[in-house]
Amino acid sequence: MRTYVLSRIIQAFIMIIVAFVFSFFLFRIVPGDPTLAITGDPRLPLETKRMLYKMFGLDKPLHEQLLIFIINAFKGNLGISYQYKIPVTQLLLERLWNTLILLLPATLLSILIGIVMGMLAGWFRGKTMDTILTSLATLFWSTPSFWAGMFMIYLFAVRFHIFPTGGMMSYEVSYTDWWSSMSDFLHHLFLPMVTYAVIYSGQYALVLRNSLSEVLSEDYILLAEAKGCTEFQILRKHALKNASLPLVTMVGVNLGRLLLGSITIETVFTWPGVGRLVYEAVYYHDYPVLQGIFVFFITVTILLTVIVDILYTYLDPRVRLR
Amino acid sequence: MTSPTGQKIVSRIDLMRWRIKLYKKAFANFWDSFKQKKSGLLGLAVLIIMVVISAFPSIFAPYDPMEVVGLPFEPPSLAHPLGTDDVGRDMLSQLIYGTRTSIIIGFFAAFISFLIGIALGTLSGFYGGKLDDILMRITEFFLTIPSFPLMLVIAFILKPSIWNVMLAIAIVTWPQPVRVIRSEVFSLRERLYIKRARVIGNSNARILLKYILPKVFPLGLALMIVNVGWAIPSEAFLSWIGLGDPTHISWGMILYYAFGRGSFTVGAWWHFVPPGLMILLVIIAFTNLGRAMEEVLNPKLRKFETL
Repeated sequence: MRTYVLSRIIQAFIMIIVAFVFSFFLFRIVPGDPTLAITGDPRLPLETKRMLYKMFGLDKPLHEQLLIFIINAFKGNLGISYQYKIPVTQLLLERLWNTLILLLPATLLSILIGIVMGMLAGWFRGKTMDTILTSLATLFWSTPSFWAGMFMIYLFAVRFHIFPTGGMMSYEVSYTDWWSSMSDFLHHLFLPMVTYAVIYSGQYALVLRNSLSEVLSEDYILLAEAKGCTEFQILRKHALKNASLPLVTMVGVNLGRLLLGSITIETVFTWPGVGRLVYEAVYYHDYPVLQGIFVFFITVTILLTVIVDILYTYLDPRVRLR
Repeated sequence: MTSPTGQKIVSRIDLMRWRIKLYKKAFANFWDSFKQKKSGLLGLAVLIIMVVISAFPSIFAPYDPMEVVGLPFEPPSLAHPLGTDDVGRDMLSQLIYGTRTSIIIGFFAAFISFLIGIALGTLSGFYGGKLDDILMRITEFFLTIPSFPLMLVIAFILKPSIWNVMLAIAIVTWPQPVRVIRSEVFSLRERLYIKRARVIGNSNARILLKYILPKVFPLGLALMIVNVGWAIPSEAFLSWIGLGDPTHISWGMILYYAFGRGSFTVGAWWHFVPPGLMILLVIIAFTNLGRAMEEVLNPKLRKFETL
């Protein structure tokens, strides 16, 4: 067990280094003069160019640059943003909180909706209820998140004026007490959170439904029935626990899609998080920011995958034995 | 074989006839089981309609999609069934021409990853060993990296054009088909008829081309269809975020303009709702079609009933 955990951690470490090397070379393919990208002025005198090359370490040989890049990345130094002129790490950390405030409750909510839908569909499998819920889940799963965001803003903010069109707070108002600023924040949070949760609940529902209908055909469910357990008892005590195991891997595996959701939902709702930063970096051609976020995303994904894998061995004894 | 040349030709033609008969029978078998899957048939119908529309957009589109033919943000009317955009271009025509671009990008991107999947998957599964090890490590790496950020970064680094969008999508999608086809070839390699073919003296290349490739080709095709259903929304995402080709109208580009010009904040729903619905339709149709094909071809999957 311990050797497994250790080997997974070492694997992840190697993977992260490979990813750093990969992203280093990926951003080297960029055609053109880097000094042009920094200053935006093609008439730069040669000496200034040389100075800039020296300043950013571009005069060093490639392998040395790579080494510096990796060491810096591990230290948390991801360069300086062209647009904001502050360190990328600082920018990233500032935005990260906003992203987490949105994504954590949204993900929890989506898992909750997914579990309820998947449970009902799996329980009533083959019946009308199942068809309706599976179709709905497929619909949610297929909807492009950015389009859904635009649609929700149009419907609930523009048409019916129930929620604000975007942002985290109303800028024109100043609040006297904590409660009114909190309620304003929640008012802004609601629409992006629900959009995100509904879109991503579909996949959880589909996975849970499939695994539940598989588990329900197992022998021990028949035994539970024979023992005289009520339907609810079977579902709660015997079926759901085993059926929800794939959901754990789901959360880890589908992190890529979650990151996509962070980019699209935050951009549409002008939520000042990491995802919105991606959009801004693309818009302003801010290479260091994009590279920094890319490296950050990869690292987080690899780490979370390892955590989920290790967690899985604790949850599923069948895996532990191997 | 030892008889005069004339007889050899006849036998060859017979062989060909026999082979055609076999293929026909295989297709009939496939169609018989496929026919029972309603979702697959529905997906096929959508696919055919989309291909027809994108083959002859000028027949279906009432106006030139780039020409200003009305007032800005005209709501839907008889003259403009889906209204006009922010400069007064006909939305229905844009949607129809957009279908063409989106379908082409989707198919080409999926086709590239299909080719890579077939090539690397068969080689890796057939030869195994070091080659397989290295390839599997690479696919593992690509499968671990979050796909959408990677696609975005590649599209960002390359210049915005439809070819680069295709390339960015293909780079992200190729590992999946490689893995599936590899494991299929892996099991095929151990089958008796392959072993027999080897014993009677067929070379590796001949076995690959004659016996393995035709077997995995349909599965690759099914995977490709699923990938088209993935590539089209990916294109939409890239275009929407500002990395699309501004010289071609696609569903994603329409959404890009709708987002940039704030159509949804002025209430012009006809500008952004139709392309989104088209994308939704395509994803559902192609995923169901691909899965239905996969289920027919790959009996292991049959227990997972899709919608």
